[in-house]
Amino acid sequence: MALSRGEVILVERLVKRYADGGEVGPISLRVGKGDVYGFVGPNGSGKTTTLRAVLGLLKPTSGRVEVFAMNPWREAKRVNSLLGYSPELPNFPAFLSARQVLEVTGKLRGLRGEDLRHEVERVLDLTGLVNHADRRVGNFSKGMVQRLSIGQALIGDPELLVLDEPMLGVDPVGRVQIREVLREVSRTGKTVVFSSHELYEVERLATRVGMVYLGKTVMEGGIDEILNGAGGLRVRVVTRVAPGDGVVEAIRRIEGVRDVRVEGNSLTVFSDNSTDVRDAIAERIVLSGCGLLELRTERPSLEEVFMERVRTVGRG
Amino acid sequence: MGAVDVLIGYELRRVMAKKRVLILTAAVFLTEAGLYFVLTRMPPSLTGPLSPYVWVVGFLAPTIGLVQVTSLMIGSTVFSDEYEAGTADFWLTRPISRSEYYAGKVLGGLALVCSIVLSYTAFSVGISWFAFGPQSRLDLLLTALPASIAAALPFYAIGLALSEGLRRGMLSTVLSTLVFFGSYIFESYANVIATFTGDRALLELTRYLPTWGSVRLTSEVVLRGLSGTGLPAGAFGPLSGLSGGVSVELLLLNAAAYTALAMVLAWLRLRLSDVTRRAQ
Repeated sequence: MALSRGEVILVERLVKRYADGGEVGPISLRVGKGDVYGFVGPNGSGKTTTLRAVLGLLKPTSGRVEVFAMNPWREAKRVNSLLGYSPELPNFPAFLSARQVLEVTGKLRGLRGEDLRHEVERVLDLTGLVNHADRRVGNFSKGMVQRLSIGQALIGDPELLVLDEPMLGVDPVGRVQIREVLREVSRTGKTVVFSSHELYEVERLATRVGMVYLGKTVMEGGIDEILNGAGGLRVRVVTRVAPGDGVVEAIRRIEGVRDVRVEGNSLTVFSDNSTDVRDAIAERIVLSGCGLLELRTERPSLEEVFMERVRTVGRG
Repeated sequence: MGAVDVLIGYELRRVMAKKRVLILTAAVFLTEAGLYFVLTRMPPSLTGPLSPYVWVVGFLAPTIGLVQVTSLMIGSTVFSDEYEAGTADFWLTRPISRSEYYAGKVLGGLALVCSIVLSYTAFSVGISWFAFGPQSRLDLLLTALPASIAAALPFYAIGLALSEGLRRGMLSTVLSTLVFFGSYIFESYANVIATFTGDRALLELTRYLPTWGSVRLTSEVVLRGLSGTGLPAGAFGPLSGLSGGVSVELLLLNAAAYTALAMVLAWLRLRLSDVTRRAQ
């Protein structure tokens, strides 16, 4: 299957076998033009391997990787001319200043003279590094290196940004700045792919999500589709008095209900998507005489969806 | 300005920031200064006929080891430093091909080797002129300088191949130094034994060692050039012993073969392997 129109990245059943016997895959993902794609999974799940294959830094053992309809292993130069990359734990030549790092990147992207100078100043401003522009990168803090890394990825306004753990080691102020930068980039219609094991960040930024666990893709889709669908329906109920065991058991027996958790006079009911259990829950509460104060459906967090998926994979 | 130019400029700065390269370069100049100091202390009756050609001493002295060791030190960090510092990712995710990366890095290191050879040559000519008066046959430098650079190439390339192959700076420096001294020592012993025993096969074997061409090439070119000047045999002391009347073409072939082989191995490894991440 090749890239369809509007798709920027296609990874299909990517498997990478390392010399030490470690193996990642099969991993699949599709990133469309304009997506802010959050690539999530715990450490060591294969996120970085996948991104490095997308960048042409590794040759897949099997499977297919296409970026802008090109094979990044064979056409790394052309692929990299269209994307900006910020690695996990970025490193820059320690003897260069932040400005020199940006200038080198700009020159390699074909910028010269005034254009280059303006672009470097724009990025320094965007990343909040104006006052540190002429300091050697070797003297930078972790957070400053991370911001510089995002900055060099933005030089030349590439079509695609690939960011591996962009929030790693960044303080809260830096995170807000990076979040703003990414939102700004996505508003201009550029495509952003970022990996993270911090699901809260992904939920706040991504429009599409791919989940990997134990080196395999376990879920992929639009963020709304995933949060509304895959995690099932969650109903929060507040009663006047704490519900007794009888009513909790009665709710648990409703068709489609998977679990009920009780905390004082509040219940959380987890159900399948296929059945709307709200009427049945309300009926049981009213009949029990606990007094129904509130009943609302809630969307699970990405973290909950992920953990549920991990449990399912673990059981499978 | 192309990608290769950017990389050459970067590579020059990177290598010059390395202390061990600076120390070795300083050692080359100190050796030269030391040699000339000793020569000025010799009685004029001894140095008299040599005076117009005394630049040869300073020019040849580093080529019997120091230049090779300096070159392999430079070569052995060209690629490995980038892997160890985690900056290989930085370069190979820019819009440059692996060929451009390879060319830029190799030429950058080579530019530094050339500038070291040029600097100590200028230094030895300058100090000879200053201490011993006008120097003759400087025209020989037209062939001797390229020969000197060619002599440095095999060990620069061996360092380079180990640097890309092992991707560890210290290990590749140690191994390439071992290759140099191992070959040098083996060759010296083999020559002595072959002289005593008349073992032609052993002598022939030394011609396949990487030091054979590299160490002899420059002195062979220079001393042949001076053959019509009437200087007595052995006028340049131990440096004269290196000229064994062997063919310059064979010496060049030896140097070129090791250089080409090592460069191709480094290129293939870079072209065909994954870019490894910095060891955390």
